[in-house]
Amino acid sequence: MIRHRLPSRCVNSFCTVLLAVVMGSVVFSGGAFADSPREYQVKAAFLYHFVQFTEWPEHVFTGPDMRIRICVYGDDPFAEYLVGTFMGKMLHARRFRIQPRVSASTSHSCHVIFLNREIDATRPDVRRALQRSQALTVGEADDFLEQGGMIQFYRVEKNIRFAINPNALKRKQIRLSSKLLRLARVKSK
Amino acid sequence: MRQGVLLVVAVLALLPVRVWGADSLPAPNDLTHLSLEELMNVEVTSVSKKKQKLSGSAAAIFVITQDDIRRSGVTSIPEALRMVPGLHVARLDNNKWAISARGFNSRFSNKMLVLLDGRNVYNSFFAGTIWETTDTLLEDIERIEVIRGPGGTLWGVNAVNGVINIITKHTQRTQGGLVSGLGGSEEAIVGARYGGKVGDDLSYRLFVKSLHESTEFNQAGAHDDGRILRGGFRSDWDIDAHNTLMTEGGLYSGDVGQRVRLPTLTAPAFARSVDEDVEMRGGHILLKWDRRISEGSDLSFQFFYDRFYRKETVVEMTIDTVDFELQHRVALPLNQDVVWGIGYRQWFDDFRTSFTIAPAPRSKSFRVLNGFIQDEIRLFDDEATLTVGSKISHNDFTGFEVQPSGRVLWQPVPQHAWWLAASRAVRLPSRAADNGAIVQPPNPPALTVPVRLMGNRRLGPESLIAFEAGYRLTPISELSIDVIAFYNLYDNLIDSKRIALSPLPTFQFSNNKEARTHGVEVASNLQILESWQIRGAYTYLNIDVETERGAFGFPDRDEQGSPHHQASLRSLLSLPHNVELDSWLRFVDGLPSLSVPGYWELDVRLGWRPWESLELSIAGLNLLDTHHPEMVPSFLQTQANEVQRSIYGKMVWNF
Repeated sequence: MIRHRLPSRCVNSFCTVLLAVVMGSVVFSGGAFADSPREYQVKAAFLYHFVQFTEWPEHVFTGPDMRIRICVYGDDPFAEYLVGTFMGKMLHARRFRIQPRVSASTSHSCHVIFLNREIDATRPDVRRALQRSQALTVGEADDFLEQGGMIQFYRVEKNIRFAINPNALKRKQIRLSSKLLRLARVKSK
Repeated sequence: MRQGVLLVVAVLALLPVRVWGADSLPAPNDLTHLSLEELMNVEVTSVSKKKQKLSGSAAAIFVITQDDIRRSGVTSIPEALRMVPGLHVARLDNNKWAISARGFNSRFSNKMLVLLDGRNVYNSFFAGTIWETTDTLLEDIERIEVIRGPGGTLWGVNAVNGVINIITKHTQRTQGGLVSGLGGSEEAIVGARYGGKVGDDLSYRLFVKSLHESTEFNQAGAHDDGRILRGGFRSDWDIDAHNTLMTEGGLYSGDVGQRVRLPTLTAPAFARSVDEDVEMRGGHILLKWDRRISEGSDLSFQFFYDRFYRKETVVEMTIDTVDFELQHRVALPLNQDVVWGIGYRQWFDDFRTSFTIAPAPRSKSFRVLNGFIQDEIRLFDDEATLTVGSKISHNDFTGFEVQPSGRVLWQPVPQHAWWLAASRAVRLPSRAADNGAIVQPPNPPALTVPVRLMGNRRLGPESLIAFEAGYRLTPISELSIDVIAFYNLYDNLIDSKRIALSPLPTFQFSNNKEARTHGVEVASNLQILESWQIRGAYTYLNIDVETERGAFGFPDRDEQGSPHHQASLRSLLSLPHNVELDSWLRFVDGLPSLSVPGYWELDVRLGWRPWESLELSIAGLNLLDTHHPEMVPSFLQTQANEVQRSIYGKMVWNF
């Protein structure tokens, strides 16, 4: 019931303090604090190397300055690690673009799509997303290659390994360098 | 007092800065300098360490998805809100709605905050949401998040009973064209949208929507048909890996009918009825800039300008609003996630007044300055989350307001989540209650002459202390149950007191009401088969109001003006050949003090997608009665009409 009608001087000092907060935070918050789980930093680095060793068919790049799109399927914080890994880097004069929360309606422009272990690649929406794209698909689910995926991460003790499905790659006319094939476990049918 | 608040602000301001200053080395998270062979030899720790989002949040939140909107067959945003537990949605006539969470519902429900893509659509004169102007193309809505209770939001002085946050799709997801047409017994809606791209990083969409509504039912005849045309755009630009800019804007123009009872000074009736078409026009532009400073630090800045114009017999008003918000989220050591922000909002209004509504002065500007800080701390290996925070605001009506809240969430296993919350919230007096006069027509037999209500410049804010508890059970992935209980203590609610008897009985707005409310809200979701889903909701609400002697208001209106019980049961069935059969049964308890009986209603929708790009559907809404009343108005005495059964056909074509 009691009114606190304040003189404008006081409102101004309130503003000043808040302004100081803004300035302070913008200046001081340059550093990152998250103690990122190492597994996903490593996987992001793997992805970076995969891209170096991948040859897409000519037509997936519509222009000379089209970026290489690294997409993450669904709502997955992994996209944040990718930003840290790919930012500022280039490949054959192309910059990268990280695209989180990709779905069937946006997958067509991806060059790489990452699917975490919770995503079932046989789900209709996921299948449609993968069918519509020319992307290199990289997944974590145990049966990812059986479901038509191209590269799958797996674990041996505390180390990360990857396996490759050459048939799936052939279907989309994506070629991997022999170096990658040498290091990977190759799924044969 | 004010030094105290300043000190608090200053301390809050300095705290995080100190921490940042002490420990600001970037974490090296780029491992690309390692070769593939080296990467294969890196040892990684437990798999489960990846930052997981707790499925639960410590608030009574309900999300309406695009699929919910599409499959429920609703033709407007308010109708979609009927599926939310804890919310009472009532249609007054074709274009007027009363929507509120946890009681105190009326056309000018003043305790709800409504956001459309981040734009606060709160009307400063009515202190409420004008639902007839709050609309967009339904197909472009991504989701509607409804949070009941205060403190579920970081923003806003008026989010006392809840927040309704309408979020449209990212333009990357609305590429290409869409045409939708709906025609039926009650309305005709035509919409079109086109989404495209400029280069690789900028996407946009444009839309237009035309709405024609025919009259609802009234024995004395209804005059509430309406025509509204609106258009708008949105664009999303990824400037680089760290910066994005969203721009959004729109315009609307239309007229909606109403029959309004006006007070006069001529005996014996002292009132006359007018049929009129209310003119409405408005527009807005919004910019939102998001910057990712680093992995654990995001900054966002938003600006919007909104113009609202409305002309009817009793009042003509123009309200311009400018609003700035800045928000910063930063991850701090010890599993803390801090969000803080400041906001500034200013209104400029201009009125043409009448005998019925005469705010004083005719033209004025108001400011509200907001600040908030919230710290979310994850404890016990992410099993528990503690959230503490406070809003601090300064406004031209009541000065400084502090609104703290504390929440704790415990989720020992993914299947069970418990949470508790306590918060304080305030609502500011409206422009109408602050200064001016409103004359109400007589309301026989209780009142045989008009009554005058005067503004009160010494009004304080309405305040609420709220306690909430929730439990979320997900025993199997096919079933989830959400149970929430709350107990609310309201103080200083605005009613009125008598100050004179002649020439007209005259009352003045006054903080002379208290209330206690409690209730239970249940939401459940059961996936019986892959193709069959059942969604249920139940709401119980009880309100006790105490008014001081001499008050003009009727406590009954508050106590019984919101239903005690509400229930909703939806069935979503997917049949072969892309056919969908969806039905929705609702029960809403009666409102005895308003002479509105309880009702059951049923909606049924049959949809068919012959091709991926084309969807055809027919639907029947409110099938159980030819017409039923849902609410009567409290303030402006517009004629309440009854909701009629409606049948329509709809086509949506994507290309």
